[in-house]
Amino acid sequence: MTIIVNNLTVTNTLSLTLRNEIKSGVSITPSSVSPVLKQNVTIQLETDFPYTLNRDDFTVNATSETNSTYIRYMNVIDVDDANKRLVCKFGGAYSGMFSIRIRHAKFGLIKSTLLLDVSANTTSIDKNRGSIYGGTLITITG
Amino acid sequence: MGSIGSLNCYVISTNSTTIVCRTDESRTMTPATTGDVVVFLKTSEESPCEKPNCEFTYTSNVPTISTMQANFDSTANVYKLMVTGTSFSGDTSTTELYIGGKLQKCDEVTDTSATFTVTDISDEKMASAKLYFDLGLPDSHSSITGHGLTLEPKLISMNIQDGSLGGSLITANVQGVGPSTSGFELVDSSSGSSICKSVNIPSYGVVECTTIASEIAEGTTIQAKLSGTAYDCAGSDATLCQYKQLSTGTYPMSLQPISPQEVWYSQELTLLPQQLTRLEPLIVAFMRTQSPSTQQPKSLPHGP
Repeated sequence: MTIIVNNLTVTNTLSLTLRNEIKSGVSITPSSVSPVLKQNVTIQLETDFPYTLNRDDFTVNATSETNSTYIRYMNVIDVDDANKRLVCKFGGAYSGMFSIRIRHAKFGLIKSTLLLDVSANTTSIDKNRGSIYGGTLITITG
Repeated sequence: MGSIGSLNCYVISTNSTTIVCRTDESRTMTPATTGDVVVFLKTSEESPCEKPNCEFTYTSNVPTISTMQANFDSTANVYKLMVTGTSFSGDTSTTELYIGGKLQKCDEVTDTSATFTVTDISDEKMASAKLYFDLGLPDSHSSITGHGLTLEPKLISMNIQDGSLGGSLITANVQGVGPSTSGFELVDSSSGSSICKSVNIPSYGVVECTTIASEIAEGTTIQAKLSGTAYDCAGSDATLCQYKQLSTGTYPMSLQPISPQEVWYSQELTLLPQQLTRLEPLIVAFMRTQSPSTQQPKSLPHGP
C-alpha cells in the first residue's frame, strides 16, 4: 500500500485486500412488527458468512423508507453462529416501511434488501353495542 | 388508549394482539349513537380499522337495577349480596359486582336478580358498589353506588380452642370485616373484656388475635365485638367459638420442662414439640431481643 504524506511517499509494508464477495442478509422474521411493542426480530445471514458470529461485532439499524434521517437502532441480543442468525431487539417506531442495514466490524456492510413493516391494524372488536352509561368491556383484536 | 366516537375506552390489559378496555362511565351517551373504535398508539398514531368491523353503537336497551340487599348465609357461613331489577342477562360469566373496586364472586343470575358471595371487601361499611353486565352499566346503576349497607361481624370459628397462658396467636374466621376495619375485638362473652392483646386483619374475613397473657377459663365463649356491640358466634359449631388459657392446661406458662431456664446467646434450648408449637412466637421474640455483642443472659418475656 502506498501512503503519501505531504507529497512524500512513505515506505511501508502495509497491504489491503479488497474482498469481492458480497454477503447478504437473507431474511427477517417477523417481517412485520408493532410500532409500540418491543419485539425480537431474527435476521438470517448467508450460511457461508466468513466470520464467527459475535454479538458485539454487529451494528443493525432500521431506516425509514420515507425519511432517511429517521433511524432506529436495533440491539443485537443474541447470535446463532451455527445457523448464522442474529436476534435483534426492535424497540418500536412510527408506522412505515424500514430498510434494515447490517454492519459487521470485520466484514463491513452486509448487503441487505430486507424491509421491516412497522404497523398496527385493528381487525375487529368483540361486541358492537354497549350501554349508554358506559362500562362496556370491549376486546379489540389486531 | 382507545376511543369510541368522542368517548374514551380505558385500557385494562393488552398483549401483542388484543386490547381489553372499558367504555367511559363519566357521561351518558345518546341512544343509537354510533362511532368507530379508534386505537391510539403511544406513538400518537391511530391504528386503522376497516368499517364495519369497528363500529360501536350505544344502546339504552340495558338491564335495570333497583335494590341491593345483604344477607348472611348461615349454611355456607358467608355474606351474600343480592341485586334485584329487570332484564338481567342470566349469565354469571359476564355479570360482575365490584365493591370498592374489588370483584365479588357471582353465584347466580336470573332475569330479575343477581346473587354474589362477598369475598373481598375493605371493611364492614362496604365502599361503593358497581354492577356490570355484558353490555356495561345498567339503568339506575347509581341506586347501588351509595348502598348504605353495613355488615355485622360474624364470628364463624377460631383455629384453636386451647392456648398458652403466655399468649397465643388465634386466627379467626370473621365474615364481614376487612383490612380497613378498625376497633374490632374478640371478647369474653361473660365479662365483655377483650381476649386480644393485639388484632390484625390481613385480609377479608381473617382476624389474627394475639391473646393476652392471663388465664381464660375453660368454656369461655368468645364473641366478635365491633363499635361497642358484641355479636354471638354465627358458625354452626359453637365449640369453635370457645377458648381457654389455663395454668393447668396443655400449654402452661411455666417453663419447668425447659432446661436451662436461662440461656446465653447461641446456647441450645430444649423444648418439647407440643410446647414448641405454642411457644414458638415467644422464642422467636426472645432470640431477636438478645444482643450477640453483650452476651448477657436473658429470661423469656413471660416466664418462667
